[in-house]
Amino acid sequence: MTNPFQQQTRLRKLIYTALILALFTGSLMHRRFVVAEQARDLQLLETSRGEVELASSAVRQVLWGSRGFAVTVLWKMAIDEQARHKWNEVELLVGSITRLQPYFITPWLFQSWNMSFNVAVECDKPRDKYYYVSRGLQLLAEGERRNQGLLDREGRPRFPGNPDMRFHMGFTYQLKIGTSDEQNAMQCLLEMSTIDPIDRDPETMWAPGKEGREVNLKRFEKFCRDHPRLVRRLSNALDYNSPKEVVAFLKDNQVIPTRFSDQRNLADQASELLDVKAQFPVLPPKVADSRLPVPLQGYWPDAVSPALTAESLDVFLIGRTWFSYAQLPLPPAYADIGAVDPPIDILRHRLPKHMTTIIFRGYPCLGQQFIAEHLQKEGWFDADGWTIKDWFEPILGGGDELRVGVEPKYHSGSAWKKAYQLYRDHGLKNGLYISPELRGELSKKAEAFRKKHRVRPGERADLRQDIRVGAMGESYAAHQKLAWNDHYRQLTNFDSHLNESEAEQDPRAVQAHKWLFEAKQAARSGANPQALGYYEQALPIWLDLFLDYPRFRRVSSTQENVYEAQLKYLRLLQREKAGPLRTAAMIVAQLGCWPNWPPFDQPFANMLNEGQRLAIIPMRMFHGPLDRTMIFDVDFMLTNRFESSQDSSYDKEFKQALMAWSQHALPFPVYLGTPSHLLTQKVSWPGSTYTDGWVPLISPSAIDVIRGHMGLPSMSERRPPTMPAMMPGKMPGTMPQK
Amino acid sequence: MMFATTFALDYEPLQWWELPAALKVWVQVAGAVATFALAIYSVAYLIQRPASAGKTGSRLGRVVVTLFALADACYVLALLSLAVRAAGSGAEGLRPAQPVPSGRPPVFSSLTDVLTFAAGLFAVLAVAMPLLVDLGTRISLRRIGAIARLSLKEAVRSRVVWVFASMAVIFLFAGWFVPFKPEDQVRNYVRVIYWSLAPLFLLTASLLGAFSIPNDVKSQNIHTIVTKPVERFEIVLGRYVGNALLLTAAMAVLTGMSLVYVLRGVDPQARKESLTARVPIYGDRLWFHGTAQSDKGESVGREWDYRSYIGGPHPATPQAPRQFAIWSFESLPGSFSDKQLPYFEYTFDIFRMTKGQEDRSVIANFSFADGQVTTVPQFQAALEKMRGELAQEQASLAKKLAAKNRDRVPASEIQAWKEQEQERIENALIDKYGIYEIAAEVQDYHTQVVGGNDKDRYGQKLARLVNKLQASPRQAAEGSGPAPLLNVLVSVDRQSGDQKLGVARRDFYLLAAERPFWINFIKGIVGLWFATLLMLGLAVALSTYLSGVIAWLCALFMFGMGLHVDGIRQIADGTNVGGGVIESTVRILGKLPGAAPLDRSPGASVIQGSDEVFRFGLRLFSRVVPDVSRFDLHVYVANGYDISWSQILFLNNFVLLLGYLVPWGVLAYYLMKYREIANPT
Repeated sequence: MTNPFQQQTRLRKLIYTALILALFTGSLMHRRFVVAEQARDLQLLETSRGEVELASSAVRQVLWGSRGFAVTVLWKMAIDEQARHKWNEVELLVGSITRLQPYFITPWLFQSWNMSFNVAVECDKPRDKYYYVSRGLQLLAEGERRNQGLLDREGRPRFPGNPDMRFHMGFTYQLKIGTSDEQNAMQCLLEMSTIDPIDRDPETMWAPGKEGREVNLKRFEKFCRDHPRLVRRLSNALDYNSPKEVVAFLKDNQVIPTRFSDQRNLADQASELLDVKAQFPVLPPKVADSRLPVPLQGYWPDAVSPALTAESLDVFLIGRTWFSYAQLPLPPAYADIGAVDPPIDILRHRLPKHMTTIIFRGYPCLGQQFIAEHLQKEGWFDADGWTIKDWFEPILGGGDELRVGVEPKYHSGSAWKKAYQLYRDHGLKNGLYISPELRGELSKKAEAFRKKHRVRPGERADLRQDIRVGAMGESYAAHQKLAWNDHYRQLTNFDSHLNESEAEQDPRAVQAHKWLFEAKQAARSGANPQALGYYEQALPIWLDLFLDYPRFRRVSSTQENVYEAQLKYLRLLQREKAGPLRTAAMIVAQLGCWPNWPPFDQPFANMLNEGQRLAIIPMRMFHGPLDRTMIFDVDFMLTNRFESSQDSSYDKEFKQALMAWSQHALPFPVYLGTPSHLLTQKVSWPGSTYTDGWVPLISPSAIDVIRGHMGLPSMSERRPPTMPAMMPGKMPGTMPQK
Repeated sequence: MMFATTFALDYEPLQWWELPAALKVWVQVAGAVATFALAIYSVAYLIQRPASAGKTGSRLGRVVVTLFALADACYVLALLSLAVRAAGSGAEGLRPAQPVPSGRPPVFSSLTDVLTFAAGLFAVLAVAMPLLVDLGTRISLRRIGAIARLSLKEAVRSRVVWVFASMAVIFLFAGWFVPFKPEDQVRNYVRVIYWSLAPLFLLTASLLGAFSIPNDVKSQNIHTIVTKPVERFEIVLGRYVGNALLLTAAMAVLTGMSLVYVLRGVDPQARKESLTARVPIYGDRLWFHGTAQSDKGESVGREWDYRSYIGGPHPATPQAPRQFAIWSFESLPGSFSDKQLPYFEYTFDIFRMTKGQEDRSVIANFSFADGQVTTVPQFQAALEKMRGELAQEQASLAKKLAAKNRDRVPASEIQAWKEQEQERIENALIDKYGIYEIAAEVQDYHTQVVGGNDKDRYGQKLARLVNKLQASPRQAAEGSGPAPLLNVLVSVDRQSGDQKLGVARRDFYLLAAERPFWINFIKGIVGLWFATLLMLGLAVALSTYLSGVIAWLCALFMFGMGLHVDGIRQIADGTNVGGGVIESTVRILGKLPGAAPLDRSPGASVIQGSDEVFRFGLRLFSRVVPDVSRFDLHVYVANGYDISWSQILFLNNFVLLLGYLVPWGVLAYYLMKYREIANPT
């Protein structure tokens, strides 16, 4: 038996051991269920911020407190190497900087911008530019992944990602590939990045021919059918005028950032896809359809599929995808925007840092609008696609042409339709679009508040909290909703976008754009008569469209585009019909000399000096079909109400009533046109003044903008050309004296 | 052949003809330091002279005193010469300025220069004499070897060698974090290897060197050595040699592994374009025509002024002279044949003034002309005449072709005849005018060969031209040396007239040969090895007097300063923007712009005077800071340019290392000799 001291000692040891175990277990449980949960809730864990990179974490731990110093040194080195144009070293250093501070957003944004813009712009060759744009984008995508947030078990955002980084991805694609100086070359390279390198291998496109190596036209035809936009861009925009030149471009740019690896699949027919993170173009991860606006559901590009997307591949499609992805960390859309502060859960949602939220929310719609505009710009309108002339004559036979890009995904009308749906959906969800019925109801409700507090419609007011009750409270809320709606619509230019996309989906608009495009192409290739024909077909359609969609007519960019087309038409017409026009001008001038008519037995032009000829022949006052057209602005008559600019119902209602009224008095209807054409066209003569409600179809400001761009004098400043001091009649020996 | 490159050297490597002048400066600087040290020693000796000391010293002492006296005498004479020259300078100022002599400057520019050199030489000899005598009589290689072996064993036992295993991390994981353009792969791998090896070896060398002797002192092991018949300097040399051997062995092993790392899985583009060692022959001179200054082109406002720019003929300024960048080659090696054609390569920068045509490069004209056509107007006149004659010949050829077509001559026969005729016309024009012109696309950050895919055809023409020029005698122009063999005039073509081309001397060269990459890689590592030896020597020399930590920090400081020696020299010479330390501080605090001069005021004079004193000190300091950037040869390796054994490795690296370490060795000799370790007294 042990002695009491030993027993005490043993007991003490047992107690200590038990305490140690209890404390240890307790601390473990506390850490697991309390500390860890709190850390997760407060986003203190690296795993709750996004992807974790072991090496980066290890280096940061090793550096201890000297991370700031190391980053500063690396930043300085990166700037120095950049000044010395050592781009590859800049890239290495930038990678180190971002790894040392992965949760500091600004370096990701700055350095990715630096690579995509500053470094890329120093390179002269598009392929080099493209590489550094891609490196900047991949860097930012990596940063986005590191700060991607976390979803909960239901797939809802538990912690938000960073909307700014996602937005900048789309914005960089848009600016550097979509609209830069080298946009056509860059877009070609982007499309090539999405094509399997086996399919675009230039070596497979050659075949032995009579004069050495020639392009295998069968193989090339398939390539054109599969990638019509790429080939058309090369041909039309970059002047690669033969299959041989196109294949040479493919050869020169064979090695570029891509989606595919060097490995081939088991059938050896296609290349394996790279890991999603290593692919270029880099895309956001798949998002459930339930989190997307209805028009975009089912259209999210799938980076794990070789086909990538069911839509036509476009840089703006990638931009739209990133813009849509940037919306996910935002709080849900709120229809009472401005009037009431929306509820925001700061742990689950994040607002954009550098942009008004409502503008930020509109970017997916804008992305879709750019897709539609881009299709039009490149000449993709409808099932006619693109006809490739000459290139395939040897395999197609005489007279046959290859038509490519006829699938619906290349139709601009469909793209505009989707843009309209997106804008409408965006407007409804965010309180930008208010139906006429609801607007009328709200206006009626707001009357009481406006009357009592002498507030004008559209004026924002603040009512004391304690009197925002009962009927007055409701009236105040209605007024505020309308006032903020006006404010945000102006801020976002929402009405213009909505009206434009509504009209542009009309098949007539598609046709009108197509003819203008064809006219431009024909004029470029010197086929002026055909170009004039296209213009003459297109311009009346624009008139119809402006009358049918009066709000579309008000969109300044539309007016400018149409007026520019008309000016080009007039220039071409003057050039093409120079002979008859000169003769006509001379005859008129000759007749104008009455009663001192010059002798008719010799050409009148020979009697004139240079100054006189210049005064007669160049017809500066040459008007086109849209120039003198006036329309009656219904909105103006309806007290110039701002809110009526959202849809055409007022206009239509008014004209229908007018027609019913005018026809009612007659025994039978005599007006055979459509209501939209009623009271809408009159020709104004020079010097006439505008009467109330009548406005020119093309506004003077739009006319002046375009005339300025084309180096012409402003219409408002234009004066008739001064006649030379000496008329023919005063020229000695040429005209009989009175 | 085309590869992306950014090969640019911030300094001009030392040339063989500059070696005498460099040695002269070295002797003058080392001599001044030696004289200063001897003066202090003399004063200390006179103050603390023991009473027992005899009137006559040892023979060595007498030699040292004599040399010192001679040095002093030379310095006095130099001062007198300087004074005489200063007194006469007022009269000289009235005379018209002498033209600046062209060509290579003489080694000695004045009598003062000669006297200071002589003084420095005597002073260096005076200081080095005891060491030289010891090296000849008392220093034993066997004992140095024994201490070196001891150092090696100590290093191995202390597991220092394990530090080199850290490179395994780089070899294993660096690939994950090194993004690269296909053509940049080798460049980035080389960069990563150098970034890893350099700090690893330099830190290890500094630690080994700085702590070995202080540790001996601390552990009192040194007492067991110095009480043996061992010279103290042998300890220094032994430690140095032992540690150097260890570092060399480690470097050899890691170099082999690094080479495997760089060479595995090289992208075909990188292999074709970067995995080589080009031997370039640069033009002896780059000069400009049509720009404001003949030695540089225009500035386009870039921060880095390595290149200057030439523009094309602009329609808005038709009267403006055409701008040319002209490379003059004094000579070219041997004669060329069909088997060995001259390939000229170029790497220009492009600065676009307008967008230009999308996806179309800038076009440059390369005119290879006889060097005896000394002025650009002469060249332009000859070129116009040649072009006219070429047009006539082409018109005549077209007529003959039309006749042949009418005669229904087979197409293949016509083609062969046409090529033959064109060949004949071009050859005749080359022989007659000594000019050959080629238009070529320029893509920046890519080295391209003149002629592109047709480089062989153009190479044959250039071979004909160069062979002709080499065969003809060179006539010396009046007042200057012989005319160069070949001038290459580069200009922006008329169709790219809006754009500008950035050029530097090393942007255009004749490709003499291509050598294996792996040898070049090893040469690059040799440069790093020299840097490591320098760091080791510095640390060992400092550790002979300072404690381990202090010696280590001092060595790091000196080496660190060496990385920024260009900046230090700029401040010391007053060529930096913003002025000296005090002036810059005033500018920062007062938010004054750096480039604008300070207002004239007594305060500004005080500031600038203070800075002048500071600059004087900095100038002295900059003389003892090693120019370590010269040992960084990775830029050659990474960009595929050969490191020459003689000029780069021997002259620019080895001689520099020796010139820097010898004074530190002498200092270490005296510090160790007079250190109080088991001294008999």
